[in-house]
Amino acid sequence: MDCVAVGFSKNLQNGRVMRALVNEKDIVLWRSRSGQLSAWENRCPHRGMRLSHGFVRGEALACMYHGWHYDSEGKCRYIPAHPDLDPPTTIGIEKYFSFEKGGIIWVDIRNKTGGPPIVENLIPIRSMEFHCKVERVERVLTNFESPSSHKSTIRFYHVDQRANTVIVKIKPLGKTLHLIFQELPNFRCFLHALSADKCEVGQYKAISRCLDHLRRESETQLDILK
Amino acid sequence: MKCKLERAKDDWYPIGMLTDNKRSKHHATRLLGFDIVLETKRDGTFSVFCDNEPWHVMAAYGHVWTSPSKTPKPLFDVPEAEEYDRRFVPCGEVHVNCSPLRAVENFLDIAHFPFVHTDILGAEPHTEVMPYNVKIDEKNDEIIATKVKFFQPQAAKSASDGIITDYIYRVPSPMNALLYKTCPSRDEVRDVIAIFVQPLDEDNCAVWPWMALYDDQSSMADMIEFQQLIFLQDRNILENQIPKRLPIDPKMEIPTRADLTSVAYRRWLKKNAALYGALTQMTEKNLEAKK
Repeated sequence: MDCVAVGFSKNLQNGRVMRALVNEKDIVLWRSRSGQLSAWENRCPHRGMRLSHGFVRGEALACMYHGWHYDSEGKCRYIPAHPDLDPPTTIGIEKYFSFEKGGIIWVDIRNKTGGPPIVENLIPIRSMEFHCKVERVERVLTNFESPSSHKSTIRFYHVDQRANTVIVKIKPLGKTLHLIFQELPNFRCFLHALSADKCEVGQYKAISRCLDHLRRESETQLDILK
Repeated sequence: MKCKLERAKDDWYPIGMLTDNKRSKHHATRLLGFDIVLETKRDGTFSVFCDNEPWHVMAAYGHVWTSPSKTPKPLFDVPEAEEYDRRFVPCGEVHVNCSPLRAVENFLDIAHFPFVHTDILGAEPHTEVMPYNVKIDEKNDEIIATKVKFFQPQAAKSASDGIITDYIYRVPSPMNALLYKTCPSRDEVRDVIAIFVQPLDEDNCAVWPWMALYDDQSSMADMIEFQQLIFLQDRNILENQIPKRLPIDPKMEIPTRADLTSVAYRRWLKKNAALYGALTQMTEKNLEAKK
């Protein structure tokens, strides 16, 4: 999988920093004050500190340990211990290709341009962590009936391998959902759920409850697949 | 050449405070990957056992020290421990999921004060680290850093205003370090703060801070709380450094002028083959080959 969904665009506001794992690689995602998105190796080359603990200063990301500033190109621009020093241009951080499409932040650690062909005009519903592998959720999805009184049912529709996405229908609401998976280490994964159809507030809640059931069912399945 | 564990066995390590009412009579702990038991006898003396085999044990600087070696090197000297007008404050232990060497290196670093100990040991815009001196004291084979000056909003529990604090740092053995800093209440003497590090294994340690201060105002509890706060702030850094072990070869991490002490520390560890908790380019290659 070249392109991995790491979260909803709306959940990373300007001036904020987050951590993401893409194919077991530790990544820092951050958005500058003006809104520019960057995805880098999550490590300050000075003393190895995870940059996801850092803070945004204007258009730069500052490391939490010694406050070194890195511009959006990943180049070190300022070392607070030596305010008059022009940092050597060799100090830089490995950048990864990232972009936003359909309300989702995607990271491509092989730095291939392009991206997933789907997910236009989708409405973000929920990003949730599951304590099981993606395969298990997919298995549960093939025949899933929510046990709630609402009797919402997820009907498997089809899989888009290119974007690690399962497209499902929720009955009786009649809504189409795109479930985009992000694999994580240690038998965990993220599920980013988006709706292809407009929903009313009550319908959002019904879908959200249905996803809660899906999670419970997936996490408590017998460990055939782990 | 001795392997890094064999080399590390020659030193003394702290495993508890001399006075600790909460510790059980048979206290289980770990040192250099060995499971050991610290036994406190009725008469107040101590024994240490590893697989029923007794290890050397001694009392010094508020702590119980042990060594796996039959012939350990002598423990380093702290003359200030004999100055009985000081208050001696063992602060308890802070467990940190990091290499013992990373913990010592962080203790030697001042440039992080404004960002990690904000408004206590440092504050923006006072971030500049002025040139200072580092040398190896050949007689005792210790690292000594002098004329380390830094602006501090609250240098100690007894400080009320910001002052320029003057530090001397001393690294007498790979896992122990001391600093001598301007005393807020008296000009002519210096407070001593030390960290004694117990290496549980190469990736985990217990840090035992110890202070010898001229402070007759603050309560013991307040002084301990102050030091604990500082170390908890450090822990957040130490547990998020990648890799966990201290990279010892140049180019694995990029230092700047302010890191003079840290650079000297890494060189000195390498020269002394004190590599327990260190990462060398060689070990990194081996790790990659195994993948």
